[in-house]
Amino acid sequence: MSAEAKPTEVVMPFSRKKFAKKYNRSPLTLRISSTFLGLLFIVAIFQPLFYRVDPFLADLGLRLQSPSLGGAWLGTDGLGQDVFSRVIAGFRWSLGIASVGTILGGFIGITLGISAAWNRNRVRIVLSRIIDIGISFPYLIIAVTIVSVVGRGFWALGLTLGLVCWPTIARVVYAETLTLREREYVTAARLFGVTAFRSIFTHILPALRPTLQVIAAFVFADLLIAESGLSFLGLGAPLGTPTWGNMLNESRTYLATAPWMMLGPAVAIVLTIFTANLLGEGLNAREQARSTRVSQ
Amino acid sequence: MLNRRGKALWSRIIQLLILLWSVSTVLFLLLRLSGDPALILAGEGATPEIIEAIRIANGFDKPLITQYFVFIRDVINLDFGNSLVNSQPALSFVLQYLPSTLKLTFLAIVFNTIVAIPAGIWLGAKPNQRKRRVLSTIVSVAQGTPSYVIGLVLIQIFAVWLGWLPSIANTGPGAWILPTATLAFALAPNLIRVLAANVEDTTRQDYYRTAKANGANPTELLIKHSLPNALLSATSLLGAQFAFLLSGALITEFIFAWPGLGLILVQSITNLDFPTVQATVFVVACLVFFVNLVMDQVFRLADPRLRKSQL
Amino acid sequence: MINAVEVKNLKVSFPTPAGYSAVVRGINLTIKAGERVAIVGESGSGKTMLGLSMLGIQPTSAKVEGEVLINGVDMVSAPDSVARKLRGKDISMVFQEPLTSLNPVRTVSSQLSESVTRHTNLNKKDAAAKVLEVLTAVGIPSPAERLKAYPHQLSGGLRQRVMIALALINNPQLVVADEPTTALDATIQAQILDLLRSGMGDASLMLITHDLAVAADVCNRIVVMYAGNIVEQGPVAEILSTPKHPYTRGLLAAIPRFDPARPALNPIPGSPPQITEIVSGCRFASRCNYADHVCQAAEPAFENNVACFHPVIGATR
Repeated sequence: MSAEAKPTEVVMPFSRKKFAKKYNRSPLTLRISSTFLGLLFIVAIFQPLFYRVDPFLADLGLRLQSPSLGGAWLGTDGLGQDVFSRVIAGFRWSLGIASVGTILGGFIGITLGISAAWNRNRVRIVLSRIIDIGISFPYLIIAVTIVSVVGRGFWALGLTLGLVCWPTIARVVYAETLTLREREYVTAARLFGVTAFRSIFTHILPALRPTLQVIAAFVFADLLIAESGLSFLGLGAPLGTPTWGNMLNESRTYLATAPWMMLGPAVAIVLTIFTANLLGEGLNAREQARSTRVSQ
Repeated sequence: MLNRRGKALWSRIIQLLILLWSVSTVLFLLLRLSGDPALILAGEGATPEIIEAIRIANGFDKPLITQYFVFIRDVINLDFGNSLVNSQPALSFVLQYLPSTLKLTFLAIVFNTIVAIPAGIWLGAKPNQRKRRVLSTIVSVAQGTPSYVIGLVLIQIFAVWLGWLPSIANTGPGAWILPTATLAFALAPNLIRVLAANVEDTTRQDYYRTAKANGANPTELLIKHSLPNALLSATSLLGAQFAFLLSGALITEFIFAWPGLGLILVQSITNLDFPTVQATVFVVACLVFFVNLVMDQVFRLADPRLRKSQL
Repeated sequence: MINAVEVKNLKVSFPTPAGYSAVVRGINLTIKAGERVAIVGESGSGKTMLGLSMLGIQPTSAKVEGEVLINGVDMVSAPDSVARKLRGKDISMVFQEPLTSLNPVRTVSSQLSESVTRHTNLNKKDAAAKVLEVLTAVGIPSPAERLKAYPHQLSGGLRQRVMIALALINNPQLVVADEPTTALDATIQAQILDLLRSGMGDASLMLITHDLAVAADVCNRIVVMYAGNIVEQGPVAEILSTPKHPYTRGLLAAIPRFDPARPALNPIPGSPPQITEIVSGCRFASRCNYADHVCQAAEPAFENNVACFHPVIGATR
């Protein structure tokens, strides 16, 4: 590793040309998944534009209608609410909570991971033990327990998921920082008396960025599963809120009479999770390609 | 040697104690800081007199630190209080359901291994063949499929449409099939992918090339050189998979009304039955710890590099 | 005497965005029985790929043309089921990194006896005796105790001895050794070189190295490769005293030695062409002091043991 390999962060104003170039050079999986995930976020943000009818509009006269092109595309549920519109409304909950959780978990995970790797002896042992325990503990059981106390609002769920997902991030950050810390340029900075705090911000964090992008995408996918899972257990979003987990839970009552009810939310979940996982793999592939290019 | 093993054992016991202590403390803080525990324990619609009586009976009127010491003393005595729903001691109530969860998870692991190991090896042996590429794409979609979707789809097909299998626990031996399958299918894609990646990785290793240079045929290469290494690195995954498995068990038990730890946990949270919640989390913590301990030992025995020092 | 191997017009090329690019560009090489030949060149000269493709274990993306004749079998055109019967029996290979080149989760004896039982009819007991015999022959002290050892439990030097034992165990007629001492300590290097020089039994040796001194120490004949071609070959003494190709001279001048008359090292300027680079004429011309318009125009043929339009006559010093 020569001095060239040092990742220098150059802050650049946003340039459309550069963005287009970066986009065109990315692996196909990355291009497809990032575009598609972007579209899903647009749906989540501007969801009222995509409703066919108000997702809360209950009409018992229209309950349990099967899907039809002329009527409700994905049928109606037990209260006569339009399943399609409720699936659309579910994007905001799922993507929103998973985003909040990923950001919070990222903050905790990065802080703990770097602290564990940067310190030596006792601090490192204790922190890395905490990370190990966090990883080996079933995430859903922690989430369920926390939710039982903090409640079921949007922010409460985001907080819960953030408190659940940090160990994965922390472990990756820990391992990566351990190797980075021994790189010549970091050691040199230490010898020259650069403070740990500054070294972390100028050397470690920028170098961690590609790894963090990959892990964030995978954690985001995991949190989508967890969020819907909590709702499915009846411990997530308040009952009646249009979330995919709630809808799946409600559909259990009608498996025999209205099997289409689970179709919409199930497809939405699987599709969104798959897109997020694909994004992770695409980012990973780009990183691998970049590192082989550098080493050649 | 014995000395070192004794030391390792001690450090493990201390780890367990620290784990249980931190879990208990977090549980204590969660319950006490979230509001008035007496109000939660009393449930909705209780009169102020009843709430006051509960507060005094549970010592909630004392300072927080005193409450904490009382709580820890009770935990040391394995006393989590009585379940608010059926008034049994919470721990023994929870322990009744442990075997049922263990049986389910064990079956799922067996099922998962039987499916995933051959599939992973097959996919990894020739990763660039087109049909295998298609299959590994399917596996990665499957990996993203949550267990509740798998469970519902399986019920829809095999219980509702075909009517072959029951979808509810305790209705005969057939009742085991769908929950086990749900759990195993949630688990398998991960193992398949890791194994396939490991097998593929071994073909790029120097020892693989050495074996080739000595005339090994493709079967020998796979069985004698790829597999020992690929399976070994997959073992290290199994411990982490157990945590994931318990999360899956929670969902699966809920879907199939399977009387296990997961169902108890969900029900006791819905009923605000905190003694049972605490006992369940405590039992899960112990379970996770011992499974990881066993997996560590297995890994240590299986990998010659960790077994002996330099000759 | 029969030949251990005959290589005829061997080409190895890899797919690149601009079509196939050759790494080995038509090599002709005959190694006689009992001969020890060194293939010398810089990294990227194609010497390792030459060795791998002689056994037919080149990377799967590579395209190999030409002939490699061992015992009348052409390793290039023979189907894998035929070629692999020769690998480890008639031709074998020792690699650079002994630690990673041995299977980490299997014992030394199981890896050695696997190769014996594969190529012979020996039963397990006889194979075990054979393993012990060959481990003794390559100079492993108290070999019986090391049978049950795993590679990580041995020192680097012992591991490389095990690798050599593995290469010799079926009495091959040719052993290809690819930089076998590069990963070892200097003192261990000397021991392994001794073993390669005089402990190989009847096997011929093809030693791939970047180090002329190692080549001169171990071998009878030196073959110099540059950018996929053989540029010069000859007996060790001749190559050292009267090198004809400017590249060989450059290599010799770049060896550090205690000689007050020659104060500094003389590195060869520049670097070899990339495999994708299209070079008309001699591939060494851009780095050569003797090059003229002839060298730019055509590629020199290999005649009288050298491929150069302006071979140098006379001694180096």
